[in-house]
Amino acid sequence: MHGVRRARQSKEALEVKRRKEQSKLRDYLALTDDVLTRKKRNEWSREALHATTQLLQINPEFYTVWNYRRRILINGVFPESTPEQIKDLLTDDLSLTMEALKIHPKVPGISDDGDPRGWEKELWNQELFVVEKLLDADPRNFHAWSYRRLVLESMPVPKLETSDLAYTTRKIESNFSNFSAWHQRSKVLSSLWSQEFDLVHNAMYTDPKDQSVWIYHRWLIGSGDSRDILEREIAIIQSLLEEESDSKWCMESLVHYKRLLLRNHASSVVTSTLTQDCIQLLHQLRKVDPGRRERYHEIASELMSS
Amino acid sequence: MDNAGIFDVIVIGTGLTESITAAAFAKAGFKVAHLDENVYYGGDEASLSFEEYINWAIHAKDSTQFSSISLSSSDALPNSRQYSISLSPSVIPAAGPLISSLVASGVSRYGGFRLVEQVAVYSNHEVKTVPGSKEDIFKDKTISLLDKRRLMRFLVFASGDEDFEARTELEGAKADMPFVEFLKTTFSLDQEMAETITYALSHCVSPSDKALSALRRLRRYLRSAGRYGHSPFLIGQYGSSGEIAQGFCRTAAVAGCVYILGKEISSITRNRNFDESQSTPTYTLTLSDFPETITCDLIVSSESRFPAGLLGNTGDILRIPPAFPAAGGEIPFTIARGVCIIDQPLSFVSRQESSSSEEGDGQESRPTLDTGIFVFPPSSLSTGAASSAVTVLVVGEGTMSVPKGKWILYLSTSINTAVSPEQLLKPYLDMTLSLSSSTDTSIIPLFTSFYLQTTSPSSYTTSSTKSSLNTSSRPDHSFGSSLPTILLSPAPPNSPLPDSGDAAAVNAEAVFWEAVKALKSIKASKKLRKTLEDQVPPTVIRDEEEEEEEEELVEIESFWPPVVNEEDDEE
Repeated sequence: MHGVRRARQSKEALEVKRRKEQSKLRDYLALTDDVLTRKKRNEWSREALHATTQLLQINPEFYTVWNYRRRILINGVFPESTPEQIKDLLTDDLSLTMEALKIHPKVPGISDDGDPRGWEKELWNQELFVVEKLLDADPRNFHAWSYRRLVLESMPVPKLETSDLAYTTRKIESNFSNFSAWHQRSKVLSSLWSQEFDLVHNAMYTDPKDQSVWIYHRWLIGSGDSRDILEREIAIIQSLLEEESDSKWCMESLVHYKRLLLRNHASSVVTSTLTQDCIQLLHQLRKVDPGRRERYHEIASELMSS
Repeated sequence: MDNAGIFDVIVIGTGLTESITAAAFAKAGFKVAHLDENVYYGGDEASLSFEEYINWAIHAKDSTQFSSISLSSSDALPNSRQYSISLSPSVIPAAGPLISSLVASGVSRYGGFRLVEQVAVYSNHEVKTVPGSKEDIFKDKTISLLDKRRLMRFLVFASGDEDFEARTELEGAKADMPFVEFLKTTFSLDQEMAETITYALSHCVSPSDKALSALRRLRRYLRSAGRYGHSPFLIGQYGSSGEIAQGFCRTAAVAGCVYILGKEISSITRNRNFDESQSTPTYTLTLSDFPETITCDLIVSSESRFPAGLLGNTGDILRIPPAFPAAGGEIPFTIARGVCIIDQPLSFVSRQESSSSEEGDGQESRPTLDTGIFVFPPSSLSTGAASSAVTVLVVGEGTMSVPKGKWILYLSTSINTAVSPEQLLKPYLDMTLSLSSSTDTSIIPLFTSFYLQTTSPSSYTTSSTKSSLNTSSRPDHSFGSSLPTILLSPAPPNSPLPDSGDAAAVNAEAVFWEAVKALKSIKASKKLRKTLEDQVPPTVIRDEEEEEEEEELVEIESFWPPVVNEEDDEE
């Protein structure tokens, strides 16, 4: 655990401990033997399940046993149980996992156990609750954060991004020395950012004449540092122009963004094509928006001379 | 006998059209009597309590309007009086002739109105909410970007002010093209979007509905959106159609109209002697179980209610042609209807849509609705046989026509071959209930009933031809029988859903003006007779005549006189 110092112990205490561990070891080995034998037999009984539970409580890192347990659940226990019983079983399974995570929080094998629960959608909410409980206890456990992301992705009804953002804010406020919380934040904000573009596209296509939409879009693009975003947006606006061939805003925005490409990413684009496109668009603009034809003319001249 | 039983006009039948007409007559100052053989208002558009409905179902077998009536049971439901089941349910566009009449006549103050919350369409075996505005389209996550653009372009076109015929998009024979085809070819919309627009936005009935008429109708609805709220349609509380008819009757009564319900007309006598010694009224009616006879100069009646057998000579009957532009030019004559009562809420928002909404934090319940319209495009349901669109109107407790926790589903579709309404509509009912159940449990109806409603074309021949409708051919002061004295108001079209109310209002106004013309002529000829009898020096009388005639002309400038505050009775 973070920040907890290792305690020193006396010789006698050490001896007592050693003997305890010996007996524990013996029990453990016997149990292991039992479970592995059952496994070889492909036994799917409840007893087998119980045995694996015991074993895993002691040693959660035993990957093969987790797998065996999963197979027991799928092949032996679930086909013979009512949905109620299955739910109870999985809830117990959850608590086992939770316990396991508490004691050995960094074991990857436990996180993978999300699989058999994948088809019990009600339990995803429980999973989220569990992992968030764990994060309350240990906010810097990146395995738990990763598992939490998995849970959020697997949920049939996706949780709102803004509430996720609020969650990260709370964790950061309680202790901002938390790589995982900041990381999760960056993921959420990126996703929100693309949603912003989606929203603007909907408005653009619903009413291409509305000026406010185009101005906001221009702000979203910003100084055009991302070539991918520029190219993606140019393609989308191009499609709209094909539908609305006399849309002044489409043409004007295309010219602006293509110029950004030329300015910021000249080394990775075909400059001649882009320049040609702009000049053609400016030509059309002079007809569609005659009030600003001198401006378009000037821009075209700039492009041709550069 | 004094003037108690003498009226200017008698109106037969308290359907919506006739009720509007009666109210207009009364407010214009005419003496009116309004009759209906039923003990309730509304005639074929009445709204009935649950027990009244059962009664109606049992007795209506004798009527010519309704047939093939089936009931799932005749046992009374709890709170049966809190139900107001409409025989002819409809919705009211927020901008249109009916709303204008409701407001101008003051009838809108008698009851409340609810906005229809949602319209949905059956598409790809699912319920899909129909976007009706730019905001809806923007938010809809199921439409692709390109489709949003095309849909918006079409809606901007459809709500434009110019005459559609002048637009380039309708050049050539496009005006007569079926609307669905027009949308696909001229606006590059896919089949699903074209059907949604045709059947769930424009409320067309059949795949052959033509582009021009559909566009005009769609424009009316688009203009209704936003007037009182997001949706273009309103529903009258306490039972829509029947309640509104009753409202007009109430305002007529306040203006002096006399109401006689529950009495059949046993005879109508036409007084043929234009005896110069008497100024006699033209018709005398006797009613069964009613001591007095009533007389009038003019009869106005719905076609279906007019007791034709009682009057031999049909020379003076004028059938007023419908003044409301019909869907695609044809009025469907027979409608198959279904009524279903359930006790669980429905939701038109699909699971997919609701889970990606703002409340998506694990909730799986779908938002439920109080009132809504669900449309099945023609031939969209593999187990269903309807070749016209099937409309399901859902009304909940907000409409005050059902008890708390209950909903009524009204199904309707127009048919042109004889078919059992139950067999035809049941698959649609089942699909609606299974798709829109807001929980995972299936919904079992508490009660269902099906019937056919027929608007029979007029079987009367008239001696007055259409030319008599021109103002130029006003009869002079002769005593000849070129004057129509019996006017038959056109039956309302039963579909599409939002049009029957507006049609009733427009037709009522047409009848009103025709009647006013007739009544003025009658009054004028009576005065002339009177001057001759009294042998008073003509000069004096002529002045009086002119004054009185002028008064009458000035009185009836508009369909509704300005609403006076003192007419406000208890609210």
